[in-house]
Amino acid sequence: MPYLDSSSFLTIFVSAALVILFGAAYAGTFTMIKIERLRDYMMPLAYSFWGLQTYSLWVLSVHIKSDPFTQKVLMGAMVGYLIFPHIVYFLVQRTHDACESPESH
Amino acid sequence: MLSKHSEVKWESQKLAINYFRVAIILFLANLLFGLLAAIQYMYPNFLFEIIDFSVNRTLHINALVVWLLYAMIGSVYWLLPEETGIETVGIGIGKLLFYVLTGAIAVVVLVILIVQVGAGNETTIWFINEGREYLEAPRWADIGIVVVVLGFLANVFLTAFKGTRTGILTVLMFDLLALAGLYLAGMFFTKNIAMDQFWWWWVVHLWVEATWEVYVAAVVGWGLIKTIGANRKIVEMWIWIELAMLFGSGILGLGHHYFWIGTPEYWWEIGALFSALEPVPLVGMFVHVIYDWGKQAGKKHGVSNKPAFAWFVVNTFGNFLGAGVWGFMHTLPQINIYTHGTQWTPAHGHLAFYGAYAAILIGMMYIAVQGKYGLKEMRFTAAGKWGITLLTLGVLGMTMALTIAGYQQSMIERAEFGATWQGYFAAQNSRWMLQAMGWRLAMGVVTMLGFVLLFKDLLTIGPRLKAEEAAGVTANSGAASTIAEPAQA
Repeated sequence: MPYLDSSSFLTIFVSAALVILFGAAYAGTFTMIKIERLRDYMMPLAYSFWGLQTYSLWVLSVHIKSDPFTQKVLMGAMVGYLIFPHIVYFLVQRTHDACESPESH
Repeated sequence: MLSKHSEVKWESQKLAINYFRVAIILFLANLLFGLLAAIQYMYPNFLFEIIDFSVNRTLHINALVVWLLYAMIGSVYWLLPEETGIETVGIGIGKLLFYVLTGAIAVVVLVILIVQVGAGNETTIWFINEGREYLEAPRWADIGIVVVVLGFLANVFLTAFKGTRTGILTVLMFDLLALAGLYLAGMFFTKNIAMDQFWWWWVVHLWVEATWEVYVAAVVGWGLIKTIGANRKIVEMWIWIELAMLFGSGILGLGHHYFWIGTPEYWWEIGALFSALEPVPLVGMFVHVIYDWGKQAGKKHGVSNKPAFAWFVVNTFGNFLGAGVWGFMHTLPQINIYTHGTQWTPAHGHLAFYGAYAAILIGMMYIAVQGKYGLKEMRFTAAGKWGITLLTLGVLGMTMALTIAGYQQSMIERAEFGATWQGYFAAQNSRWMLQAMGWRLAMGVVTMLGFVLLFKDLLTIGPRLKAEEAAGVTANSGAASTIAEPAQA
């Protein structure tokens, strides 16, 4: 277990919180645009949240002294998270379409 | 909720109301003993050797677990006849078991409050306190709880097999089986403390991060069908997806409790990986909630029970913040070694328990009140609005204060002094820690005020809205006859 300098603690706690908050902001903004509650031109904002989330995770991984391999795995996981809201939205939309179409009743 | 007036036709739902009544009283005990413990943090001599901090803490935590379980059982008894279309099978036994359980809980509370401690031998384990955090009921009560839960499971399964078995009910049946089965893991002792802790953690951890989360997904799904007319097919399909995601991350995510109890080091990797995945299902739910909100906006179907729906909204955000954000902030092993067992844990625990579980079960209580009084629509009263606002602000305030205290503790006690006895007192006496504990107490008082208003609202909202509804019907029928008479003439 690596020794952490206490001066890193605040950065660790804040960056960990931001990973989740930016993650929610990305998923939330993306979904709001898809359901037309926000304008299309705001999509870059959604992806910026993903970028900030990725940066926060990288900062977190550096400050908790993850080894270089783990850091690469984490960045790979962020590619997965880039796709995740797309998959969830696709599933939700298809489920609603299938269940709410006149043939389903 | 206390009134004898009832438009409930199912005995199962009458039993559910009894479970809710005891749950709300235990909720009061949960807050009361929490407040006393918070005062003792500020003034250690307060009630010293009368009700020590250890006793207050035991009652605070166990009352939380038990009130949530009471409200969960109550919610199942409430929705069971509506889902199956028949009266709960063995409802007579269900009622008997309710009184047995309530009697047993009352005895356990009195023993912990009055007798408090024993000699630390087998007699203590059997009759006073098993000494296991969160599950401190003595062994006789433990066995009694198993018998009561077996009876409850029999009621649920026999009813589901006899009546209509919906998707929601099928998920609940298997989830309740797992939830009850896990309790057994906390009933035996081993001589090796690491092995003992390993099994004991199964109970509360696999409850809160797997079976209770799935329970909440099923009950929220049912609640959304009731309150906003959500499509049952969609709700049921998503419950299965959420079940897969929650079990997929939650079961091995319990590894983050194994970091420092002497288990093999591979738990560091397993715990870190699956803990990091635990917020993913919450994000999935978040996307779905936004989608449903967008689809719902502008539709004619209103919200039939506004207080219940508001509590469901608190559940969504509270779960995300408490379990997701506050969980992830200190779950990775590199940082958890400095935070484990500090005030970070209660900061996370307070918001997660409130957001993920208390909120949804209070929502279910409002649905029961609506059903009890046969109200077509249930709107917010001032007491209800202030209740939800103060409770939520109070818990958020406590969480912030405890986060500051936890940060200070991890810096001083863990990083600077290396988790020594001297470090513990240095942290406890630091200015930030003392101020944070003061704020925690103040926010605890705000939470209690919110509870008082919620309690008042649950008692009075039903009769009040019923009277208003009746007055509205009378006024409308009066107006109709006034208009009709000249036409006849």
